[in-house]
Amino acid sequence: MAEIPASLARVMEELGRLPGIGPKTAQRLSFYLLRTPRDSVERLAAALIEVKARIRFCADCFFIAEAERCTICLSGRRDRTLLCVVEEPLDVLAIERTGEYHGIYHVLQGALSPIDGIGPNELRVAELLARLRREPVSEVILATDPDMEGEATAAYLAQQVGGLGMKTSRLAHGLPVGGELEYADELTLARAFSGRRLFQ
Amino acid sequence: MPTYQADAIVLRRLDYGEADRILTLLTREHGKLSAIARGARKSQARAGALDLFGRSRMMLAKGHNLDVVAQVERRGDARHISGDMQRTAYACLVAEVVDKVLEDRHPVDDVFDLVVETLDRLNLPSRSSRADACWFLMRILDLLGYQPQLQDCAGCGSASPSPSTGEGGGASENRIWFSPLLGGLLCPRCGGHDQAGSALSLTAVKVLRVMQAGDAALYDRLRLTPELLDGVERALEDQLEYHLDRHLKSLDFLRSVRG
Ligand SMILES: [Zn+2]
Ligand SMILES: [Zn+2]
Repeated sequence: MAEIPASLARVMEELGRLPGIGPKTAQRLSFYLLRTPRDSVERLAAALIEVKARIRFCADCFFIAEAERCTICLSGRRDRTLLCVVEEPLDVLAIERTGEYHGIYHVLQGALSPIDGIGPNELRVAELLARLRREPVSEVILATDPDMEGEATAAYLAQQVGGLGMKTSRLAHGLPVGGELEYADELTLARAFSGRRLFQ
Repeated sequence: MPTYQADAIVLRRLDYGEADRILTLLTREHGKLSAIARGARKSQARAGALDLFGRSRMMLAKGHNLDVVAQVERRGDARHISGDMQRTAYACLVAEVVDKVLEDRHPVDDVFDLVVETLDRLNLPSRSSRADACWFLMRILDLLGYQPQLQDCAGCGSASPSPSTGEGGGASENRIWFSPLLGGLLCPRCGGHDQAGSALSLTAVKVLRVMQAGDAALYDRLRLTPELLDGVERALEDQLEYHLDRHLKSLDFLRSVRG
């Protein structure tokens, strides 16, 4: 059998590390890149290097930012008494697309996952509680995914936030139980926001 | 593609590609297996049945690498586990243990029924999830043939180890050493030689014996304080981790949130 040249094998190996990409897909993508004109591969490489150099996580809310703070945190038009807690930056984008929400966010960067050993210390929970102590938030909307791990995370946060004396609410059902926020359609998500209920 | 049916419980799920998920399933018919659920992250109809601990009757299609979830008919629900962090974490412990002890497609008798029974108990708000999880740990040790020795000394075989008294004093009094390495209780003479393990109160030993005898009705009537369950849980965890040679992350998680 013909040997795969080392430089090509390296590309396959690196692509194969990406989430959701198995060895077959890595192989297909690598051969696609080989056939692609040099300048477009260079554009891709430059874009990857630039995004890594420029994008970081907002120091306050952990959404993506090109500066110390993200555009949402820096905006003068957001309602700072409303804070929405989500698992991932993609969830912020999904909620922003509804156009229904004008408060600020906090991105946990994951959900509690006992089976993977992800506890509160592996998420941005301490940062959330510190923020709530210093910012004039009156309601915390827990918008973690409506699946087992997202619900456990919401329950944990409700208990932690409850001690600080502000309202906590959870998105209304109508979101598919067991599903993900990111994949909910805009109308469903907008309704889930307007119909949110207080946490008991 | 040839297909087959199975009663299945979702033990783990992993996002894959655009909207797929790779599921680790425990099935009654074929033991533990992995299967891909295409479009699972976008499907509203199947979201509940394919969530963690979701139970269903499935039709699976033989695939090249992974079998494919073709049809799902939901059976049972876990609504009281959902939204309760402690119940969720104990259900995760069940899933984690089963995932680690079983080899792919090697069904072990009674494990499926034990998992169904345990998840059903965890789903009852009136029950103690911690006590039910401990009961599960003892049963799974039993099914795997790793039951701890709780009568004679696991070191020298002398009858009924009694608590060490006198000399050690303080905390060691009225306690019996439990050694996961030797697989059971140790008499005071053997206890000193084995560093790994924990000291159990006499009451914890009695609780473990009730569990080992399989007396569920009596176990349900016991008054199990958190301190008592600490000891029982620790001994069962140590014993299981010794045989698995792996650490149980769900129990670490529970300790971290219990504070
Ligand atoms: Zn921000
Ligand atoms: Zn002995």
